[in-house]
Amino acid sequence: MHTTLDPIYQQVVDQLAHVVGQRYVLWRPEELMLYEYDGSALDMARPDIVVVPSSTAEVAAVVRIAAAAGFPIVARGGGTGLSGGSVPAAGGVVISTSRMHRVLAVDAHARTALVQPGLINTDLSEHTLPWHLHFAPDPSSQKASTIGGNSAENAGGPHCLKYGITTNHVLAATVVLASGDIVHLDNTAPDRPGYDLLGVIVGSEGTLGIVTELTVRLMPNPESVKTFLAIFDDLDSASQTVSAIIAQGVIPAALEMLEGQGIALVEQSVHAGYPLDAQAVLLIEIDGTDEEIEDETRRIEYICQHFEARELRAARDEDQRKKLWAGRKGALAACARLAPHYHIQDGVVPRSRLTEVLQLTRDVAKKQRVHIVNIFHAGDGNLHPLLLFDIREEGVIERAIAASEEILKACVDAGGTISGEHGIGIEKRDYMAWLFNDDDLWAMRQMRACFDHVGVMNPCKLIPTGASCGDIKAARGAAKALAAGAWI
Amino acid sequence: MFKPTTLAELSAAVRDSSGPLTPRGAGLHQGLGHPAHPESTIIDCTGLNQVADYVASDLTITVGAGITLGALQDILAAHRQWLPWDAPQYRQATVAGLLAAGLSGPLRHGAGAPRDWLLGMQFVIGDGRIIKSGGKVVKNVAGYDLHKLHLGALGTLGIIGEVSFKVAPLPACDQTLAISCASLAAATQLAYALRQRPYNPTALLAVQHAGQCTLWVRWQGVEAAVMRQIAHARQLAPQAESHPTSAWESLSNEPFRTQLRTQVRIGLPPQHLDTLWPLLTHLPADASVHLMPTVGLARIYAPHLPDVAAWRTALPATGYVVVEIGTAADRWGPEPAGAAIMRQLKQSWDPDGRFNSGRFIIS
Repeated sequence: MHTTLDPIYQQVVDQLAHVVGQRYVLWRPEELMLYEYDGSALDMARPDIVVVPSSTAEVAAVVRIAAAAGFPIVARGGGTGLSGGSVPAAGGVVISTSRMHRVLAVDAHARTALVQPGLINTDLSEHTLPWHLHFAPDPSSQKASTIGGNSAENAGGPHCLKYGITTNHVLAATVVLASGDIVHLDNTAPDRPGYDLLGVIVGSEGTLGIVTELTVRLMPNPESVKTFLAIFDDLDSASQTVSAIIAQGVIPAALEMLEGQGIALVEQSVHAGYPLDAQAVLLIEIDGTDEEIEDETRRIEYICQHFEARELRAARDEDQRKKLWAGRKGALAACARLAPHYHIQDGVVPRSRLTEVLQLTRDVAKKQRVHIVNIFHAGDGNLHPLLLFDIREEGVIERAIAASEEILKACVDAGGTISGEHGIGIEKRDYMAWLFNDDDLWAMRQMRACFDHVGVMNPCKLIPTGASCGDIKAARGAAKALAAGAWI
Repeated sequence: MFKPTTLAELSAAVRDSSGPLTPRGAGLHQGLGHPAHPESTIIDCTGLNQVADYVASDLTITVGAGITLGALQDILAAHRQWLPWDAPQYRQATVAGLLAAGLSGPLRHGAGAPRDWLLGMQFVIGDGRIIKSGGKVVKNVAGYDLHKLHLGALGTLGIIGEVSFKVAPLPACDQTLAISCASLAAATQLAYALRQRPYNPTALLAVQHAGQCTLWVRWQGVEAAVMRQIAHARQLAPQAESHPTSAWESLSNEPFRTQLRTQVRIGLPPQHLDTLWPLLTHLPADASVHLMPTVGLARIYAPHLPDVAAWRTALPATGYVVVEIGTAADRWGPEPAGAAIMRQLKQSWDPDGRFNSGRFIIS
């Protein structure tokens, strides 16, 4: 890290300033500090320089300069990521997309929008409201996370149960490669001959290139939406209800669960009307035509009754609906009441294995003496155990990491995976070997090298790499205080 | 010829052999692209047809990729589930063959492409190693989606051995209307009117043949919702006629009933479809056009190859024209963006160029 400017470093800063303007090149330590972390708690690294370009051409010029000087290049959107994707693990130049935040065009007929990567997720749906269209991926961070970041991490969200994750909604991308070349990967004409490079760009966590423009799919807003809160006295019944709803052929727009002490914590913070003594609550949202709502309501009522829900409550109006969702989306912040530090996990299990893995998280919490609250996307088996602790307690970080690993391993053993939507980044890089053997990882590295043979794009992420990235894990331990602005 | 019945046998067949290889499912689409190398050894994948994993309540299934799509649908149907993928000749065609050929059907309008249902894959690369990507659960962002690279790649990057899909519950109600239209342009306009919010047909296909044009529309789901949409459609198009669901299978198989002479694929962003009409008005009467108007995908079946070079000039750069069957100097048209990356990828995974080399746009 450079605290004083050596001549070569000064030269790079000057070259970058020439491209984007002095104002948009940050190099003072106090400026760089803001860019050394993301929404994940355990990994931090300071960039050497931060650049804030305003166009594809500027990004390309910045990439050329940075790559020529041997700097790693890391793209950063809203900085809300939960796996260290935008943390400059090996230092280098961070390219912030915050000035590239515009909606460039909306085609209401084709139901697509052309946007810049720094556009905030919810800003797009607000922009397209007059056409009754919206962008379906809705990570809980959506008020702060960007579409470029969503695309890099292949973000999900509660509504991806019915509408799919980000990769299903990105139709084209302009990408700046490590060479500084610009390539436009376009699937708006379907089945274009060639290999589906866009399919690997989405979810590549900035390791293949930097996306500077995206064409995304827009979905029509449903005619009706109905949101239920189902309240249960035990976890098993709630889990069985989730499985039954899916197995009976109802695909709700969202099917979320809060369990255990998380319910009371959320209620005390958000006052959404969750009963303080419930063991599990399900937030069930259905959408569609009025006829579909009527049919699905009947089936959900029947299933909830069958599994002895204490109560099934439907939101009476939009205000109540928002309140129910505020409880879910503000859950992480609410849990700050329990302990000042956190680590969020993101594992997936087949839906039929939910109950046993949830039970295991409880056992692990007991064994490792950390609090674990489960607030998660039950409908697609995507668990988010939230580990809460106080780092002033000796050895607690090691115990939290051990608990976290044990839970993830259980997800893999149950036939699931180590990340459903938060990405691999730094945090889970070393767990990739639980899922993929050396040959699989070799094939991924080979593919990555086809885009970036030097390895300047977001190095040390996603795939286990050599010794040069080995010190990242050792740098762990700087867990941050829980901020009110983090989401799962 | 090899006929492996397990992934390990598939791997061994590739590893222990030398020279060019052509993976084959039912053999229905071997005519796509340039001809295979004359000394190519066939790897018959139809023995890879076992169900590896199916827990119906999870709505996911993992199968050997040589299973026919028909057999896969039968297995799912026993649990009142299906994969909303209505590729042509699906009873004979294998899943791997359809994925490699990049074939889908009119359900693509409402259900998306197979790409949207594919969760993971195991494939064999040039040196015989088995590579896994994705997984078996409905949400998974671990690693690159390498499996997507094989879709429509004509088997040039590896041999698809095993695939995992998410599946859907069978809809309670399934209704179809055929609406006679004055032209493809009129059919397209009607298609867009029928998918106005909140209406949402699941399949839309415009067929032009022997001077007639028909828009085929399918609605699926809750009966009352389907009936409301049918009533709306009949209001817009009183000439609409009901058909059984089986009509879709006949429709998609129709072009293959006789020896195909030429088959051309056109892809366009749907908002540019207008540029297509002038090209299609001069087709001979015995040619037929199958167009998914909201997807932007058309296939033209004709006795003689149309002037594709002129079509390529006439269409906007956002579209493309591919000669799927027929003798043409330039089957594929201009290279796609990122062709250099694609060539490197082929070189990395199949350095000796064993898999269907020369058949695809990337070789």
